[in-house]
Amino acid sequence: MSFVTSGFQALKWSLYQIARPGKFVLASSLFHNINGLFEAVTGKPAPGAGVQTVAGHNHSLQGGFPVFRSYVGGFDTGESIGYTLTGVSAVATPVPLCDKSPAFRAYVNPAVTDLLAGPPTLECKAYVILTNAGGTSSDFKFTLRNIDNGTNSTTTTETVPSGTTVSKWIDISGVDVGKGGWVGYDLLGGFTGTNGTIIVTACILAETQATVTTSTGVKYDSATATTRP
Amino acid sequence: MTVGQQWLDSEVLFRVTSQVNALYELILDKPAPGATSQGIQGHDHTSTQGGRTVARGTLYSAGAGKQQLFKFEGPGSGVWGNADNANTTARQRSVTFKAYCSGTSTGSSSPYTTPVAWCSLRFQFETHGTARVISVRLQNSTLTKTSDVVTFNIPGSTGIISSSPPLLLTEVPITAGWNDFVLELMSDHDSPIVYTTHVALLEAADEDGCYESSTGVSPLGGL
Repeated sequence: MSFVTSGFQALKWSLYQIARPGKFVLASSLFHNINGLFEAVTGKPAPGAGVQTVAGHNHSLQGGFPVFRSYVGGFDTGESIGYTLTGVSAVATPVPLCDKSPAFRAYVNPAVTDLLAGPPTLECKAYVILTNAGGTSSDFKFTLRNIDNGTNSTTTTETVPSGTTVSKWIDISGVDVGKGGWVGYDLLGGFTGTNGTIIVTACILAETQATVTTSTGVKYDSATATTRP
Repeated sequence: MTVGQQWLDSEVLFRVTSQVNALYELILDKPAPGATSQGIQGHDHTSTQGGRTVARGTLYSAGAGKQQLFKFEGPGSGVWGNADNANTTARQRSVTFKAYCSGTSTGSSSPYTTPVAWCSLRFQFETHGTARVISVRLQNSTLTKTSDVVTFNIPGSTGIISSSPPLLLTEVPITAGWNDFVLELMSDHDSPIVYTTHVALLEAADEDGCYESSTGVSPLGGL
């Protein structure tokens, strides 16, 4: 199947002539653009219309700005243990906390790889209970791995003093999205000291405003914009 | 610029065209196909006409089926407590969950009203002789505001394990970005044990949804 392309057209400045009647092509173009915008955004015919002339579709080749979707996947087991890792020896290099891979899948907007300035990353909030029963301070490390391409997120480190338990929400940033769509993730954890225990009870993965890159356009300023000499 | 039965001034069409182009680039943040540059960066229009946001659907969801998600033991009659205050101590959270909201809350009056989210909830309990009324609310500790309150009844029988009906909070305060939420319960009588079994927080800009409709007079920015 070939790509379905947009009906949008770049409006031509040469069509405007100050103090002259507007040309029909302008109105036609405007209507098409407005109708296309409405139907592209809502995926529905206009209120009262019996048909939809422009179906919601992918602009693929030309690309577009993805509407970030907030929560895309994860888990919350509340009181119960979600994932756990216990070790007498240090686990200096984080290992998958779930014995199944991927631990979970999340659906990421497929348009994320088609931005003006490269693919974004997701943000994750995880609730962890970290116990350090060793004799020295221990660094507990966490990362989320995109198992489809093996790319790790930024590593988050929590330092836990000897003989203490820390329970808290942690942030994991820089979560890779690959090509978008259904993406498999493993949550990895480890600790640099001995006699450590990790329990994870929640992991919330989200597309956020930070997942989209800043436009490179020039900001429109209505206060200074002029249309006549 | 506009007179009935007369030609439109070209400036009118110029401005309309600019608005359409701005909408295109605001929504897609891309130049139109075929264009080599983008003239208008995606930006906020709230200082004038405002508008509705695009709802993102689910912001957070957790469910434990027939098992407990969070365990609550009432701290006393008429006293609010965290829904997980009877969890194993190390698994009690000062923040029950976090959720990322897309809506903006610039301004204080219509048409850019502060957005609210919906929260769907379900609870499990065992009866212990005395009938009780359990109140439920969601506190947004990022905003230090609380939602509306819904209630369900624990009947006065003994030894019956049962569930609440599906409950819905419809005015959960929320703001753009990450929000911290604390789920709170209160009993009108002594200290019953209640398990939270399902929580879902939703953006839903529907007819009666989370974002109030714009009351601007012109649907596409009047001239």
